[in-house]
Parts: sequence; C-alpha cells; structure tokens
Amino acid sequence: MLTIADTQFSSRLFTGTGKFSDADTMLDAISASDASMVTVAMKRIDFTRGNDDILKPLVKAGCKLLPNTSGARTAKEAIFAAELGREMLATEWVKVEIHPDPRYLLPDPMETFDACAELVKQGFKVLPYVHADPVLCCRLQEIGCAAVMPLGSPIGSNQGLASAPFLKIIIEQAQVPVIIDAGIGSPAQAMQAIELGADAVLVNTAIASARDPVAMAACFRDAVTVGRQAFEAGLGQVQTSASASSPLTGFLRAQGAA
Amino acid sequence: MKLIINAVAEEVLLNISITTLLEQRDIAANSVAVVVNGVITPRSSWSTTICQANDEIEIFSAVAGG
Repeated sequence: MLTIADTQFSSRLFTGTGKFSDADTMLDAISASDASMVTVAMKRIDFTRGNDDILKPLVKAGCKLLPNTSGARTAKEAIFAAELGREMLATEWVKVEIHPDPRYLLPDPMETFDACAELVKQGFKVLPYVHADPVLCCRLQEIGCAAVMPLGSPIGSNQGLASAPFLKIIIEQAQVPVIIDAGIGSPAQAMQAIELGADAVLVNTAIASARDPVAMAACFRDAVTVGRQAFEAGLGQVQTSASASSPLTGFLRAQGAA
Repeated sequence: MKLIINAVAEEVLLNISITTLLEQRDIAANSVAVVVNGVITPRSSWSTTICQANDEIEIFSAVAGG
C-alpha cells in the first residue's frame, strides 16, 4: 500500500477539483475515481459573486484534502499560502506549486526549493510540484519533502509523459514516493506512469474536461490499478534486437543441415 | 468604523470581533482562514480579536483547483 509520510493511501490515483462544470459532477467523478486524496486551492472570497462552499461536500465524502499553493509566484507567497491552508483545513499537508509563467505554468525550481526548505522546518508534509529534474528531486528529498511531484508535461496540456526518460531516473533514485503530476491526458498515460514505477498520479484536467467526467474517472481508476498490477508482475526488458518466442531450429530442417 | 474586507471598504459596528464579522456574512468558521493586516489570525483567537478602524481583513476559502 502506498505510504506518504505517516499516512497510508488505498488508491494510487489523486485528483484535482478544478475545471469541472459543476460541483455535483466533480463529486461524482471523485467518487468514481476512488481517489485517496484530492487537491484544493485557496482564494479570497469575492462577496459580490457569492461563495461556493466546495469544502463541506468534499469533507462529507471523506476526501483527504491536499491544499495547494497555486497563485504563489515566490517562495514567500507559497509559505504564506501553506500557512493559510494549515489554518483553514487543519492539515500540515501542502502541495507546493510556484509557477510564475502563465503560458506554460512551469514550476520555478529555485523558489520551490526555498519554500520547501522552510515549510519542512515548520513541520509541514511537503509535496512539491517540480519539473522532471532528477537532481532537484534528490535535493528536495534530502531536505525532507514527503514526496516529489514531477510533471509529465505542462499543466492541463494532456500531452502525457513527455518527460518519461527523466521520470525513470527520478523513480530509480527516489527514496520518497514519486507522484506524476500534470499533463497526464489519458488513462493509458496514467497506466504508463504507474508501470514505470511511479507511486501515484495526480489527474485533474483529463477527467474534468472529458465528455463524461464520471465515466472517465472510473477509467483512470482502473488504469492505475492495472498499471500497478503490471509493475508488480514485473515488465519484461526492452531490447533493440529480436528475441524469438518460438523455436527457430529443428522444424523444417534438422539443426546443422545444409 | 471602516474596515477593508477583501479589498472592499465597509462600515461596521465598533468593537466587532472576527467571529461576529464572519457570522454576519454567514461564513462557516471551519471553512475559512482570516488574515488581519497581513497576519494570519488563528481560529482560536477570532472571538477575542477586535477589529480596529481601517484594518485590512482578508477572508480566504477553499476553491476548486488541481
């Protein structure tokens, strides 16, 4: 069973709560996904537009919540957001994400590292969203992050595991759980991530933007389950040359015959 | 007196606490975090934190996100 920090997770699929057309669809999709943790963001309430309380139904559904620091552009802002999340949700868990560039939303490694170092000191369970950078992931692991969350491709892009060669290195070196976050666009890609040895995947856009998000959530649930079974069964080695599956000698002509 | 609540100026009664401020807005206490003049105010001290004129109050809630 997957364990992050001191907590066991029954599922290797985590989901986001963004981009769903309405709250009921989101809740039904989360339920169908069997996700063991879901992310939420934080925002100042806009009293002119009303406040949709997404928290109550998520808590009622028994979801473990992972507040993120989305919107933070610096380490200082991310630390503040983490402290807000701790106060609001009474949790020490935080997904640190700092992406100042709005076009590609790529995480800033320097600010992310600084934020994580401080938050670990403060006792947070820190799960940083990072580029698929094996060196950075090792450094974050060394300073005490509870997991690392390297991207497959840019957030919401559905491009899949564009970073696969580097994800393999991260997984090989990791002493903490590796959660592939961002860019996973299909159940096949989620399965591939888990087959590679990733401990979990975080999927949001691919479920929320599907024509039928609830059905798609169930597909991701099954894909992650099968991917883990395949990983545990042990995949065969990839080779450049052929390796016969059937005997090539002694059938049409005797071995050694001209 | 005047408070700035989530960037909007509002007139409120004197000696209002954070707890009362939230109650007046029908905000469930366990669903928000409150920042007073840039400092996160723990839930445990909301009832004893009395707003002062021109305080900047920020009220955050959880929203959908990935």
